[in-house]
Amino acid sequence: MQQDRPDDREGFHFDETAEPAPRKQIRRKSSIFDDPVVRKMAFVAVGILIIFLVTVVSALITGVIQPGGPRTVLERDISVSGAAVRAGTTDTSVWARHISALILDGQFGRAENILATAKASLDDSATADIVLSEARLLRAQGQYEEALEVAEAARTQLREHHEGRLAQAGPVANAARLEGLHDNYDIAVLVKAEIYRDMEKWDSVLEQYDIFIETNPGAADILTDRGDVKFEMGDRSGAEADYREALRFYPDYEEALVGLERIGSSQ
Amino acid sequence: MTDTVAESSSAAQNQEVVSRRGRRILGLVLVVLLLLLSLATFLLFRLLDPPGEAPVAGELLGIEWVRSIYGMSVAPEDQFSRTAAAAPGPDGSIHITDATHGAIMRFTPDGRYIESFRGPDADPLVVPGRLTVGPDGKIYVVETQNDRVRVLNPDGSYIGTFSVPKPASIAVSEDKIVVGSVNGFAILDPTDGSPVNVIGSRGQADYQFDYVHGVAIAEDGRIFVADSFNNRLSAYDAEGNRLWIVRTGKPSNRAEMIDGRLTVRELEDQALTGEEALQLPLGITIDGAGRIVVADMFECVLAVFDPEDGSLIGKYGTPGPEDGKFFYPTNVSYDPQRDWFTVSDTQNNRVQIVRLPDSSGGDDATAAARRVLDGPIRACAIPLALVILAAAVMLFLRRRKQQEASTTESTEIVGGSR
Repeated sequence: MQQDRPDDREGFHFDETAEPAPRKQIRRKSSIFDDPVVRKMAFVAVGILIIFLVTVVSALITGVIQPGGPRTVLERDISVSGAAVRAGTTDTSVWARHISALILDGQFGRAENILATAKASLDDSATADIVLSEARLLRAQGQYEEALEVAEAARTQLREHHEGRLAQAGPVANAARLEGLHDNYDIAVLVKAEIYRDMEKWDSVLEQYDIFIETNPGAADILTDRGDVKFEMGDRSGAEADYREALRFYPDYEEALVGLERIGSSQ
Repeated sequence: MTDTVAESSSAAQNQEVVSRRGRRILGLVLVVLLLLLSLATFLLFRLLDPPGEAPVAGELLGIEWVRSIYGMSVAPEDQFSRTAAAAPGPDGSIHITDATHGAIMRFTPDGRYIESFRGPDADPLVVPGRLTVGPDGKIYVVETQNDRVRVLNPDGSYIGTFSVPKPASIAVSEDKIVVGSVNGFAILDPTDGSPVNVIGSRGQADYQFDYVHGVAIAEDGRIFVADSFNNRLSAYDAEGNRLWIVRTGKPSNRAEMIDGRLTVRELEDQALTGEEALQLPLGITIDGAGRIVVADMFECVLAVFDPEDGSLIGKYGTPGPEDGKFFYPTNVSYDPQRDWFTVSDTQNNRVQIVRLPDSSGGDDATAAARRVLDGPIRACAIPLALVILAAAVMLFLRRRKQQEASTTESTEIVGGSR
């Protein structure tokens, strides 16, 4: 392990008896990285940072996080109606569609904001479209009593509007007679039925479905829903009658067939 | 001496204080980094996870939904309306036509819009319908009302046109072009579009056809034909000689009034009846396993058939507006690289990308790996490779260090024993 000393190599004589020259003591300042644990932690931190940055760059290169068109039916509903709302449409049904889509996606906060904007900015913000949207939002937030009040208000409003038209003489009344109540009237009935369903007030659900089916006797989906409610209430024969009636209008209707199978009835 | 001891003790204490501080700082940095990483992962997940519930595989009757494409952007005017066809190119990009945009719209496999091709300014595409992309990337699109097929380069520049009476469907391979029409189908020379063989005439008899809405070419050159309104499926060799024919259900063109009701009788030669029968077979394609996949418009399913004899293997899908369900699917194409089908889900105004069981034809592990790498998870492939590489380098360095240490130790032992 003996090493050549520079003095020897250069041909100088090295005096072993001489006192070693006093070395200047350099005291290195302690660093946090002198600790091996700290060093390892630093390596891990740098490693995480590098991996994160590489992932971001990789996501950009592979196009994974670049924006595109809508990917699901709900995303389409939200984005397309949202674009129309942002563009300032005055069509209340588009605003209502946007609010409904946000509710379906569980974005209640945004739905509230859009509803507030609709009320503030649309001249006909009191239309049933907007009022029913409010009822739907309240229902989704679990405020059932308030939702029922709002849905009932929409119905009353639509009925009064219809009766007002009928009261006018001439072509307005004739048109009102021909057109009948606005579709939203029936939708308000269904909204109420859905709220009662959430509250598990089955008698009230049936009452709303009866009102709806009276004016829409061929609605296979609602007939099936009513059959389901009757089944819940233990009225098997009533449920079977509704399922069969649904199949009369919509042969092979999957939901009705499932209902019949559930009550053990042959198709 | 005492001073030296005191000094070293003070230095040790100092080092300890610095170490503790360092550990605290690094610990904090690590916690913040991990929190940031979690937040970034959450935001990325939110970005990649589209609104709406993912379709439940069980509810889709065998269909595995990958994604849907609804339009070029979120603008209402950019949404598809009555999609006509969707065909993948060799690079995986998806070419789509619909009833209103009068263009071939090109998308990445992720569903991002790239560009639109409208043909030459002097003679733009007119209601472009079914289309296919050749192995060389050339795009072939039919214009039924103009009795012609238009051909474009992969970059959209126009190549030319060849005339075919009432073209309804098209398939292209290395050595042939097959065009289905109202009257039958024609095999064309790919170099100039001249007819090599024209098969069929319009009608319901044998060797007659009534709207060939689907043609497909297998790897071995066989041609498969969906004779839509006759509800027949048939196979031909590369020269156009028939190999087999099956009637897949009641023909749509034989309705008659019976007891005041419009009725279609089942025919004696009907191979499929009851729930097995097809209602209206339209677009067809060949999957990775060589099977024939047919879009049944009115039953809203994809039906899979054996290419050897035309026997039914299975039906997949269910009607509905939700993602993964179909409402009048009119055309289906297969991307062998990604093992997925692009379906023009016409009445739902979208193109859906779906997978079917056993379609890859390869081993399951390769197919599964390919499927994973086609999804957003592919963004993690490079970092993962980097981590593996770093771990391998560290392992190598550690081993070398250990080897060096053991060599030094043995040298010292040998030196000490002398």
